[in-house]
Amino acid sequence: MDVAQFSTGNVTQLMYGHKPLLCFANTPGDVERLIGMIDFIKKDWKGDRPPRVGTLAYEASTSRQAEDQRLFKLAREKGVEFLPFDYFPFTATDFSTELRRLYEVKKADYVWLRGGAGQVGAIMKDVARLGLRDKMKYIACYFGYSEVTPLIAGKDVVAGMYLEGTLSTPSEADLPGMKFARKLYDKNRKSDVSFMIYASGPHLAMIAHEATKRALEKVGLKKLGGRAIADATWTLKDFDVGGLTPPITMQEGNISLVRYCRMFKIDKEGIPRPDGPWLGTPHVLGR
Amino acid sequence: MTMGRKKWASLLIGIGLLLSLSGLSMAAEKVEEIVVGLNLELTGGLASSTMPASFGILDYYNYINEQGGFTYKDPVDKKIHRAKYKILWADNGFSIARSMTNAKRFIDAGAKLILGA
Repeated sequence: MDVAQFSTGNVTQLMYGHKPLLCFANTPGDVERLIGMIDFIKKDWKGDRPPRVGTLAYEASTSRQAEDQRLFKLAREKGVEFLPFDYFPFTATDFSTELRRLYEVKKADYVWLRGGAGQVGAIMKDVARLGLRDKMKYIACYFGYSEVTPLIAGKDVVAGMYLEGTLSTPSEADLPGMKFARKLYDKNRKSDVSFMIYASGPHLAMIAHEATKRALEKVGLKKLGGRAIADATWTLKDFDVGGLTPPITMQEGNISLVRYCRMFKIDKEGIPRPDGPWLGTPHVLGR
Repeated sequence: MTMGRKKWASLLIGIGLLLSLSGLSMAAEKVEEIVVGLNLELTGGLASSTMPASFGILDYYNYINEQGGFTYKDPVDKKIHRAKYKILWADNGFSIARSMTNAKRFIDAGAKLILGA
């Protein structure tokens, strides 16, 4: 099939299965972001033994693929212990068993939450109910936090938790890309959807649009196909996305449009604030 | 009378020229169509995260069209062409089966580009 595909999701191993590479995503793979996050955990950890990082993820093949042995090995070498993942059924509404296991049996210090913004809200509500709010540190994955999360869990519960994001957040309202996304949102959506993750849509679309234009200028309309669009995508270098992420520069063989993640800390109002610089993510998948 | 005829003749020639020029201008402004398929996740278990991103993609493509599309320099005739997107979209409900159905529908309609959340 001669069709180029672009996703706001994260890169997975499966996407490398098709040659030539025609699929792209604007988020590095889970394992790549987790490796990028190791240095943050090392810096944040104050104990005299290696920190233990647990995971609570919804049961799906896309969650399972994150449990990559390369992550465990590299983390161990850097002095961080990643624990075998814990999974919850996709439709779960109670997370007591998994949270107790993480705290009482696995003795996790950090918990990476791989779930949607609503699911993370429900998890954090249980965290508070079980009295585990200050027992472990919680890190929501890039799609695991939005305005919805504090609405479900409460602002006081989410305050102080982390978000490993791949996109700037609305707290950085002066960024040209964020202003543009806000303008689009205000015109079309107002308050019927949350804004925080909305911006990843225009971010992806502006990259795909640029690739389409470049492909047209290279081959013309009659020969425009997925391969031409993909070939044009590989030519992106320092493509400005208005600060929504660092500029896009493709790396040969790496289908991740963005190769960074960033830690955000949730403030008392439930707003994620940058908690450090963009962290480079390595190219692991597809190798 | 002669002057009147000349005036009319000039007027008709003028109108003819205008029409032909506007015809040329219409030809130059012919807008090409690029089919884009949006495989959106508007419902399903992760909709709290994927629905906003999906709408963000859709709104961006509508925005491009609302600006009158975009221009590019054609590599064959070296002229500036104008294009718009023909936007096809469907909800996949976080279902692989529905995603496949949507993608097939888009490809059958001529899409060379598919975006999704």
